[in-house]
Amino acid sequence: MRALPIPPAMTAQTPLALLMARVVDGDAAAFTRLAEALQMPGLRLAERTLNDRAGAQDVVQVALTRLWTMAARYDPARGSVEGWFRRIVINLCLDRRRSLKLVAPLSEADNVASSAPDPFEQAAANDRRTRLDAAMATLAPRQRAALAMFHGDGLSMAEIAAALDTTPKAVEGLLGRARIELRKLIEMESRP
Amino acid sequence: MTRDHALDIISAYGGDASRWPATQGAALLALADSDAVVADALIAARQLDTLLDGWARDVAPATIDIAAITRLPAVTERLLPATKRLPPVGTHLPAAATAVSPAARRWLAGGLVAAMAAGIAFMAPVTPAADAGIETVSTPAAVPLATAPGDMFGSDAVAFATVFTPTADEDVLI
Repeated sequence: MRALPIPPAMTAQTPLALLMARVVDGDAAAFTRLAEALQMPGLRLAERTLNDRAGAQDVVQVALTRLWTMAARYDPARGSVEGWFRRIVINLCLDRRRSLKLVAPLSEADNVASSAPDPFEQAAANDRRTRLDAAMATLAPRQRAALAMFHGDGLSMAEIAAALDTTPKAVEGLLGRARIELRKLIEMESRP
Repeated sequence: MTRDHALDIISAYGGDASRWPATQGAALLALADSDAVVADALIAARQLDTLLDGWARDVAPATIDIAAITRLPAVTERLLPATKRLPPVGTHLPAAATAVSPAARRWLAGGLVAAMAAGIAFMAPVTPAADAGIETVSTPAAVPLATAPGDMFGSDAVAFATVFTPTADEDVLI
């Protein structure tokens, strides 16, 4: 699907907005480049928001499909391509929340064996990560989405607010409560 | 910078000073030097940051079928020839485009009346007896709240119902 190849040197300096402008004109090659650039951030955000790998892949596939089929709706004046795509991903994730399966409860984290070869520190890190994953399952999808954008993509409060259709102040509260909740859950489960 | 304010910032932004609001960083770090509670909160936040950074970034790549997407038609204006596009909202059509002759009006009115009559004729009366075997399903009076307990923003349910639900044409596309 590279009938109209874009020179790599040009792509390296071309902002995604320029690719998007070509996508709006039905340029499949430009869409392929754009999709390659957006799919991993989209997958990270979806997987962390949903806590579900397979569901996240579905979401990204659908989100990219919308990007292609509804490209003409994109309005550069209202924000970046990344922001628009992020919002599509978030909306799809939150739409799926009702069909989310319950994941392993915190107590089951005790039974998960560490895959670390031997060092105690590695084992402890695995243990902490397992407890974090279990604690994450208890958060609301919006909290996980905010954490994923803040820590995964390094987004500002304003950027996260735009994706979640809320205010930066509300995002501060969302993140603050999520972090407090996580710490409590992790510490609670760490006690013998 | 008060202790509470410092703890609020650490709670929301974590322990990385580069992520804090620019005007607050120096004051917060200075307070952490003199206040053990703030210093402890900073240490704990940095430990959690390390966990969260790993959690957010360690996602294995997946194969997304991009070629399958580009095989789909892009159902946008660009698929329609310019002559078949709808005019923008607010555009006034020329009189010739909307004019209907008197004869055509009579046919349209007649057709509408005939369609209504046919609909009434074919509509079977429903009596309570005929309805007896039908299982009724009650519907909730209001849309269930999508906001999870503890979510204090309350906008989630509204957004879910208004923004997040795809329109009919979006549903067709997916």
